[in-house]
Amino acid sequence: MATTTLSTQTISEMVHKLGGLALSPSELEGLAPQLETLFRDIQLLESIDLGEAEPETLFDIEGE
Amino acid sequence: MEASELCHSSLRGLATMIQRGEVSPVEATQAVVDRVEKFDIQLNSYITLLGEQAMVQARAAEQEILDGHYRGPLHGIPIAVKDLFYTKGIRTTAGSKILSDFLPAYNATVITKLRDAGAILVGKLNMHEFARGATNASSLVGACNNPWDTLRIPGGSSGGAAAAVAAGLCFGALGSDTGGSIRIPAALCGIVGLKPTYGRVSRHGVFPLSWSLDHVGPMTRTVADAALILQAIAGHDRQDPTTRTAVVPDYTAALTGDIEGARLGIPQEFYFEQLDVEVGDSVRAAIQTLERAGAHVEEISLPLSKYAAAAGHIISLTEAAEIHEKFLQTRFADYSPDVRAGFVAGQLILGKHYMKAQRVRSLIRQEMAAALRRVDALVAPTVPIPAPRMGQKTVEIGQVTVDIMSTLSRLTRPANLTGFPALSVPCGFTQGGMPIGLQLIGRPFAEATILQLAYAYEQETTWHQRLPMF
Repeated sequence: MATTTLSTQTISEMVHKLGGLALSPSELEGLAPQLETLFRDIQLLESIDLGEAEPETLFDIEGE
Repeated sequence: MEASELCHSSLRGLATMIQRGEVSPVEATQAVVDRVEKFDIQLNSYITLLGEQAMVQARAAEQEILDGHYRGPLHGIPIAVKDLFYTKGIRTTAGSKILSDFLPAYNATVITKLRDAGAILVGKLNMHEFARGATNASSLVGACNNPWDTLRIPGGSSGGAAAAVAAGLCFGALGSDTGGSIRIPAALCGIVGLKPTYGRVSRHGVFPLSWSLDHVGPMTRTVADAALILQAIAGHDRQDPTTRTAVVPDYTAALTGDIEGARLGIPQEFYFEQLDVEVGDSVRAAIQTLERAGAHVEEISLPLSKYAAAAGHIISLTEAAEIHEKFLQTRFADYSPDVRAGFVAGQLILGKHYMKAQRVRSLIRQEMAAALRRVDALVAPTVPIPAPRMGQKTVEIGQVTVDIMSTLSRLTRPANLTGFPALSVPCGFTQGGMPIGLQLIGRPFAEATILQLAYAYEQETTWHQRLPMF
């Protein structure tokens, strides 16, 4: 879990509180690559100046 | 005509033969069933083969046609579908042990539409578990292999559909596409894959991965075949509130081969970066072919596309985490580890992260919409690399080592975020004999335009005539 900014203990608590799952140490280790990618994606989006952009309205594609 | 030759003919070609009485639906269906039984042990493209049920349908179609009730170009055509489309009373697994005994009580709307058009359902196709992966390595029935080299992946998640279509194990298929799952395997297996506009095709009765990104579309050996299947499945469905009432045009009418004056945009950022050399060369040659056919090419700037992978990843995992919450708590051990890890990670995404990704999505959509007001379509590679070997984790592009999983969907994700239609058409082969795909992205509900461009390109080339070893 060294590749993320969170400790294994913190991840374990987050998965338990947010997902209701109690994972074994090996299962938590299996999450590491996914979490690394996810945190990198979150940081990338944090770097964008979104101005006043509003969230995309779901299911609202019209012909242009 | 020999069975092998028959099974490699186009859907449109078979339709003509059936209409003229030269080939019967029973003959065509039997040829496909025999072929699946003979060759699929090497490909593993089918999860369920509906041999006898398909023959019953074929005999009924044959009788209807003999009685003078020809329904149209799909009547009597053997097709297959990715195993996440609900089929009444027929096992629908989504490639997962968790749904290994699931018998839907109803048909997906697109299944009903195909059956109403007279198509014969031959079987349910292999896929990456719950459509969450681009390799097709994780599946209830094991990995599916690429028919051009069985040691390589077919791409995914609709890998079984692409492999079966390429190998002549059906005349067309339906796939689903959340981050490229129709176009990626289409490119890696050398077939045509079309992701229509969000709202063009119903997703009712399709096991979801991510509600706001999921699309359903055809996978075929030719562009005309894709047009014929799209014609049958497009349109409003009151069971799917995201579908639009926009008129469904005659897609085959657009297939004139004339693209004189069409305006094509070539993205100057992102899409042509970090490409395998042979992929880049093939796509640039394809653009020149389109120019020779009469299209005008201009440079287009899409700098925000580089954020599409991150935004798409966050949105899809968040939505998938909600879809899979109950299964994660009750069937945790029954998921493949890679698929499960993604869904668990999705549970850790905060609401603010999801909304930020949706705001980024707005900007990407606005940028692409502005570009498509200047041009009729965007042209780009579908996948930056040819099909990697089974189990391969990274690939060298130039001096850089990149992760295969994220690379496979890097260029397809933007059209899922925007919801705009996108199509992959074969545009070459590597020296090692692996297919390469050209991606065309169009304006919302302008499927006819990208079909027209792809058809014109296809008529100028012979890539679609090459056959794999099967």
